[in-house]
Amino acid sequence: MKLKFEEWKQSFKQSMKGFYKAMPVIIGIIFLLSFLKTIIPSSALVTLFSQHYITNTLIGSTLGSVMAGNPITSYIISGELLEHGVSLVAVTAFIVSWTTVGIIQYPAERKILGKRFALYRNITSFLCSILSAIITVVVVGAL
Amino acid sequence: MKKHNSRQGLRILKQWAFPLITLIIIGITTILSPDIGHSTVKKAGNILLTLLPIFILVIVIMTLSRIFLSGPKVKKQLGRESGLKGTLLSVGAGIISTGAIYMWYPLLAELQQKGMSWKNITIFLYNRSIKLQLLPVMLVYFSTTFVITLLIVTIIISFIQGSVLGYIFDKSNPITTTTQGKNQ
Repeated sequence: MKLKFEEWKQSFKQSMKGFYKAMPVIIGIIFLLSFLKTIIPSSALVTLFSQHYITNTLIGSTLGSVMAGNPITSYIISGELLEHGVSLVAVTAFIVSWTTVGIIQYPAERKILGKRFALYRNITSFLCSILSAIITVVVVGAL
Repeated sequence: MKKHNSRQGLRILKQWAFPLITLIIIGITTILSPDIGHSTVKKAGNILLTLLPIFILVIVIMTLSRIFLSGPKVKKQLGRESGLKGTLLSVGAGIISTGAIYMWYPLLAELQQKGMSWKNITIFLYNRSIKLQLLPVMLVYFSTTFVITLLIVTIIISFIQGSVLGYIFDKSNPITTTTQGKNQ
């Protein structure tokens, strides 16, 4: 089936239109992320963790939820956290929530996918990151 | 006519409110500390450069999907009735997708309008945490057992989360407008 140039052009235009509507919030997120990365050094994150096992896991998941960017950064920070004695469960929750929960990206997700879905997905992803961390560490410990 | 123009102006202002407020905050901080502003703009520039190929990729996929993926096709492969096939497709697509998560939202919204289930959207988004190309980096910091276990647990948890959100959302209305989310 040969497609006319007009069909391709229309389809491309509509795709660009869909993206154009999302552009303002995406630009806002990029600048906000860059700003937060500038003012909060990675080394400062270690000081947020306490000695309590459960609190650390919640802190790990919360931190990962707020932070964003290349997952490699989360692995590097995790290495530092482990070196400073933070538990593996907390670190695992941190790296999972880094990519599954998005507080910073929430405005874009809410705008494009809907407020209710964005809210429910992020809340359940937060809980799932803690669950993933606990199960992973328990299984690894048992093996 | 005047009323229409002012309403349109208000709509545009509302659309740009978030980035404008962010830039104002950055601007104020820059006045107090120019290094912060310089570093922020540099980092933002780097992110934009990194995102450019992803933006092109997503536009290409969206264009192709508009032409080749009809509503019935999307519904069959990724809809509520797609079953295990749709689930596995979503897992695979989530794993191989690259770039920032927010670049994929417009495509997902469009597929959802065509019939992709919320369950499969959720599964796609959760499995984005698995980055096969970054496994070598993970192995520097974590053991092989840990990495493999985490991958398997992530996929299983994504099924659970997908099922829960699918139960809540797949019975209700789909997105009626892609960027308003009013129905949600």
